[in-house]
Amino acid sequence: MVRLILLRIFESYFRHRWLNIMPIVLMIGVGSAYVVYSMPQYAARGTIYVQKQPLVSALSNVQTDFTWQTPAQVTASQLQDLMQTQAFVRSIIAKTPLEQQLTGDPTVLDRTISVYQKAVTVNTVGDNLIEVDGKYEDPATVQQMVAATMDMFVQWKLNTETQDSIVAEKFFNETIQPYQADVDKARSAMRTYLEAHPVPVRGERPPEETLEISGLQDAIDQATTRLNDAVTKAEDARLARSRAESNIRQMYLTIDAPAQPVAPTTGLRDKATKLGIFLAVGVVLSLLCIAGGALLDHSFRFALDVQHALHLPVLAMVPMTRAERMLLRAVHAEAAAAQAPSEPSESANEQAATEVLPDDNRVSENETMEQRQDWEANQSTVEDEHAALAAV
Amino acid sequence: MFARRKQRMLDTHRKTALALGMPDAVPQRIFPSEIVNNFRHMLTRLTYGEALSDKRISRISFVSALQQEGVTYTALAFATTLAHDLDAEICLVDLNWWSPGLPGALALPPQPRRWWQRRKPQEPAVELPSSPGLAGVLNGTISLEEALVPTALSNLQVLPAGEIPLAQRPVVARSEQLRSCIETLSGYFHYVLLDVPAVLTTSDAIALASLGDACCIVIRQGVTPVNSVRTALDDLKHLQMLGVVLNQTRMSTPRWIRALVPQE
Repeated sequence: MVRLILLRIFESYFRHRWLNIMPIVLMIGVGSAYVVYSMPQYAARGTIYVQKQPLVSALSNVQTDFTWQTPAQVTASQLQDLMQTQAFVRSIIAKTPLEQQLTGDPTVLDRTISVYQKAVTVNTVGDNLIEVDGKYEDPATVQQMVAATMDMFVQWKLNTETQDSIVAEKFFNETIQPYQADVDKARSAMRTYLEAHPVPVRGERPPEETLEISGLQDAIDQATTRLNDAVTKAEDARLARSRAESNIRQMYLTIDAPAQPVAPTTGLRDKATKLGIFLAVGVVLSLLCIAGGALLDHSFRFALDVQHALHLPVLAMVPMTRAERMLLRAVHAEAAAAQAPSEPSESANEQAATEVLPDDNRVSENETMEQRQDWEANQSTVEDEHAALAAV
Repeated sequence: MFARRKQRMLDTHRKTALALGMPDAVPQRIFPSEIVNNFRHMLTRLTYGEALSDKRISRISFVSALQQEGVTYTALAFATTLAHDLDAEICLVDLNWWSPGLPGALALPPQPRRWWQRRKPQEPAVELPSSPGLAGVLNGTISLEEALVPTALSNLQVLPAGEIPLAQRPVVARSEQLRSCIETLSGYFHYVLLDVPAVLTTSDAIALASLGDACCIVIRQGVTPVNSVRTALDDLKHLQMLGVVLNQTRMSTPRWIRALVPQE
């Protein structure tokens, strides 16, 4: 069975040899064209150091949670997820020369986003390092793409972490002013009342005034306390925001900022690799063609086929040959040649006649008129003789 | 250089080729040496393989599963080889009334044509002697001796199929008259070779193939599907099957690779 399969595969290849080689040739051609005509690619790379916790927290707190993923893997995963979102990508593209295409046709925008997503990749290096790699036709654009990606990611983390603090700070800042007004108003009421009811020259204030003054003082104290509380909370919110910012800056530290590439990355080795990939695809396609040809062929090809499928002996394998046609042609030509001397053909007679009889065209200009008249006279005599013979 | 090489090849072929034609006429078929050698090998194998040696088998049917497998050519070539190599009287009987093969087989092979050229109808190179053939014998027009057509080989005669109306063919194929006619031929000749129509085109082929003592199935290499041949063999399982003739073979795999993979 193995022999049969081998023979069938070989036969399938050699039967349509050029057709089977065609995918390889085509893929080499396409690969060569791709390598020659593809734009040079420039690469930029930035590195971010990722800590699991801020330094202060890491030193002070006991670690209780455990995960199988390293900080770099978590961050890379987050960044990759973000890179699939349109808002994040748009904010990055807005910082690159591709910005003009954001305002164009939605198709162009989608294409630009797709270009970015293909150009920038995120990889982890060890437990705490992530690399943001970019490859693009323009060196300045690729550098800006990578830099913007890193910046926007840190910014996004900052925004998410400080969002509560900002809201709280804003809320308390908004409340301080009315609270301050309340304090001012209470104090003003106290002042007005004291001016209207000065301290008596002799004796003490009447109990009604003392009670009223006490009430106004309580109002002042209450407003002041509320104001102080709001101010304290606003300051706490500011502190929390600063602390969060500091933590984020510590957690995502830019180690290597991307530099603008000066030379394209598509060197000879890269080109050879790409060509090799095309060649490999061509070889695979060729193998598929050969295997398909062998599998789909349900006819008899070898004596082994007959023995295997029918369990019958092969008495003869009659080859396809052109020798019969050649032999027959030779035999018929010889037979025709053997008949030729005995029976001269009409064409030969005609040729002989043309050689004997002069033609009008053969009369050269140098011939004299007399010679021509003599020949015409002879010709008419011969025709008369022929007519006489025919009559007899 | 090519002309000399071609001439040398022609000379080589001529020495061992076998020609077939009408008596005193230019041969209409020349079987080249490579084909003759194969049929000679087949003959030797059958002779020494006890198939033909003890004279139990004198009528061999050449059948195929489908049309255009080359049954007539194979039968003709085998008959020519048999007549040339053995001192025996051979008769080739054409039983294929559906598409009689002998006139075409005794015509010149078609001229090579390009793919854009249309196939021209093939005319016999030499007119066969007009004979009503087996059909004439069966309807009593002529005698069997008159229907036989002699060839350039004195011990080989052919019996053309003639013409039988389509409606009568099943009756004739199963008739006792045809059987007795073939048996009479067996008395005249040492070997009677029957050219039978394709088994899967008409069921009459089974009855016609049964007129022989044994059967050879002709398969066209690379064309005939395995399943068709299996079906045909199922229909003919009541007959003794001598073996398979692989026709029009062409090996694309180089010989040295085939030598690496043993086929026996």
